[in-house]
Amino acid sequence: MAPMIDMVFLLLVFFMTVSTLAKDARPDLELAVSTSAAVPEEAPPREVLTVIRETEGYVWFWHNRRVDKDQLDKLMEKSMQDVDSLEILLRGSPDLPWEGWKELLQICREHGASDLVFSTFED
Amino acid sequence: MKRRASIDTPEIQIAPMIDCVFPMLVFFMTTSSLEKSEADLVFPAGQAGVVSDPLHAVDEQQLAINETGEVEWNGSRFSLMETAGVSAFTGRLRAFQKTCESAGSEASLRLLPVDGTPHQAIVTLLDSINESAIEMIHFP
Repeated sequence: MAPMIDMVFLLLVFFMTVSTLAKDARPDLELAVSTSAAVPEEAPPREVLTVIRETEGYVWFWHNRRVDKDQLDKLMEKSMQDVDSLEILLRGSPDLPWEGWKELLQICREHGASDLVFSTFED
Repeated sequence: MKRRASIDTPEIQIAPMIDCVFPMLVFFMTTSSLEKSEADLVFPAGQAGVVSDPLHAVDEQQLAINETGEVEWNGSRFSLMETAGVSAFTGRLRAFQKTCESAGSEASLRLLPVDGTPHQAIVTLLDSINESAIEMIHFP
């Protein structure tokens, strides 16, 4: 009985540590693969913007919250008040057309967010 | 009358613990998914036509990227969806960077993706540019 308990406890501890019960504050998405991107050692404080193509067009997520242009403007304005330069992590699927980024990038520029980073998977 | 000493030893009941641990194990095994780390690819937000230092000599080239992930550069075409195309394109970028360096100017690229250019092609393009050490790039 003792070896079984040892094994079961080890398995239990393993799954409890690697699994994330709380959903990440971003939509689940397949990302483009990059050969030059690097996983940051420490997650810097930044905002996360995700673009998803749906039948009715492109939808935006500010972290995990779906937003329209007005809401995004307000959120970016608020974020820019707190910091000197705002870093934004941009997330989109590999097949997302460039058209999907255009308006979003324009909004980022308008608000002075110059530190933009694409989120990718390492090759 | 002599009293018999108690020889009972304490015992831990493990059955209830097993009842609790097994469902937890099954739960975590079925619900967990190993997380894939997301990597950062720095993306220049600079707008085309905006030159940071107008006094510095800049050699700017235009790269058009179409819906199939093909780059057109001065009449040459490179497919960013094929390994051979990416290698040839990166080699060309390196040569351009070296030429500019020896001429004392700064290599600059103006990237012109069309509306349908897939995001993967943009990411591959940025990878090639990073490898060639060209730092000045602009998007429309």
